[in-house]
Amino acid sequence: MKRRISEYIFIGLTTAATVIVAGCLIAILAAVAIKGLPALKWSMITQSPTGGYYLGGGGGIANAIVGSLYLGLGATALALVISLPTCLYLRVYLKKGRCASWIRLSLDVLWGVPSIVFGAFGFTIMVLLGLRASLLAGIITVALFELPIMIRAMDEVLTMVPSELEEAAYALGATRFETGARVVLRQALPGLVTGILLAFGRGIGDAASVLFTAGFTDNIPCSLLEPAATLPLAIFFHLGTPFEEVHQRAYASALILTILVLLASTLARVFATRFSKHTWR
Amino acid sequence: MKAQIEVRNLSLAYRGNLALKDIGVDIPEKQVTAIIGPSGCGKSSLLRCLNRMIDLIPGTKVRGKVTLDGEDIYGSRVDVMDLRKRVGMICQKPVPLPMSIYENVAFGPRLYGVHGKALKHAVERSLRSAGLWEEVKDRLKEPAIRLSIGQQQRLCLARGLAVEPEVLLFDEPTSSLDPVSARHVEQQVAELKRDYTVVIVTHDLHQAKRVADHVMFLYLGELIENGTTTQVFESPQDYWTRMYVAGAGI
Ligand SMILES: Nc1ncnc2c1ncn2[C@@H]1O[C@H](COP(=O)(O)OP(=O)(O)O)[C@@H](O)[C@H]1O
Ligand SMILES: [Mg+2]
Repeated sequence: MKRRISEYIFIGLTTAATVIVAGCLIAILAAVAIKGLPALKWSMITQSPTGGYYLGGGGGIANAIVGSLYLGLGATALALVISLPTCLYLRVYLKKGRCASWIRLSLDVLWGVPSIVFGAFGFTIMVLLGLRASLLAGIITVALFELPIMIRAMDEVLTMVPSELEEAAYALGATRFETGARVVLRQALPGLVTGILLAFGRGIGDAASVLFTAGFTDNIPCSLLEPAATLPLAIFFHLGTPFEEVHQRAYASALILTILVLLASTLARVFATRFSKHTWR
Repeated sequence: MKAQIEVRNLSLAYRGNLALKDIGVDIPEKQVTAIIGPSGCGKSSLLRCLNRMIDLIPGTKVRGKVTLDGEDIYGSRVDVMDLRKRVGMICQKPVPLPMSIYENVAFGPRLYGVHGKALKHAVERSLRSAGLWEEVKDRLKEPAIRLSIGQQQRLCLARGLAVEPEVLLFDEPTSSLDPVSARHVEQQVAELKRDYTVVIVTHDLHQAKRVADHVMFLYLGELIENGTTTQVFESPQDYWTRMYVAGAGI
């Protein structure tokens, strides 16, 4: 009887926890959609702000949408270029040695560092190099912020690749590089895509790291050295005004940001499943 | 009869634990040599010493000498990748690479720069020698993981054959297969000795009797007995060998 009761309590608690988590997600999405949809006009997506936009005047946030996309894609691409070799090095060369566990530990610490610290660090470097707040500075800062997330997410996936698979390649006379690039990466591909996506989502949605580094502007940037607007900052500025109408636009912007991230995940999933038909288990 | 591989005074330690003790044996060219012995006696370890797959396990120490066609494979000038191309290995569990059937077999030759028509021929030839061609010739583009487990094992064999090795090492190739596929793979192994030197680890004494020309009996890391299949099975000299081939669990 006692065991029966503890079983019920266990089921009750775990179900409650799951429902709360799922409920929060739905509540957030619903709040953003309900508050944002009425204010979401075509002009918001297609136009940049005109003079009185943040006072309730006409225009839109095309500048922030494009800026965020540039920044998110640029930073994720840059982070990927650094993450991939790092993960391979960890998996194929260092394996589970002491050196690898130190690297993993420091990455975990970096993961926990708040993004405003990355923002401040990026700002310091910017000043040292004599750069202005610009798309480039933003991309570099966000890439740094994404790096630990991406590397650790990919590393987890690469660790799951069975070592028999590596051995099969070595037994054919493959080098470590050939084994890593042609077999291990291929097996891990669907998981790697998830890791890239996770980092992209975090990067494109972060406000603090771009606050000082990417700046803000009403124009769509035409070069890497111009400042760039971003959606999270746009949302922040909308909410900072005293006008109810502009607050609604904040929710519309949040909705756009959410849709962008969802779109990216869906695309990446489709892409990943196309490649996962060859992978094991 | 010419010995293709000569093992002399070979000892192996895993982080100080001796797994092979002073092994000395000749492995004859174009014959099937079976390594038998109870589990944990060092069969896989010995096999891995023959193509230096043992190097991949950290903390291992090899002493002694192994020569392939008279050349020391632990010598300082040896290219390990090239050695593994010459001495292929097929593992216990079939491990298809995460790619199509065709790409699996093409993987090895591609590493050595084979491409175009030559690659296609190599793939077909290898699949034929592995006895798999007829079953897969119309589905070469399909993922290799869709094959049955027995077919996967023959695919691994084909993949190993595609790099044109001289020696093939099998580590209990049939132990994870159902009896029918096991028999199929076994027949394929027996046919290979026309062109290759074959070393097969097996815990199945009947299989050893069926396919092997020579048998080595290992026990607790030592080579206890070594001779032709008839000698070892019908007139074993050593007490432990006699017990083992009689089926007494040792
Ligand atoms: N990677 C390893 N690390 C440490 N010891 C090992 C390792 N592989 C095998 N051994 C040890 O070496 C001995 C021989 O193992 P193995 O060659 O796998 O035997 P068999 O293939 O005959 O079953 C065993 O005692 C085993 O515990
Ligand atoms: Mg074994």
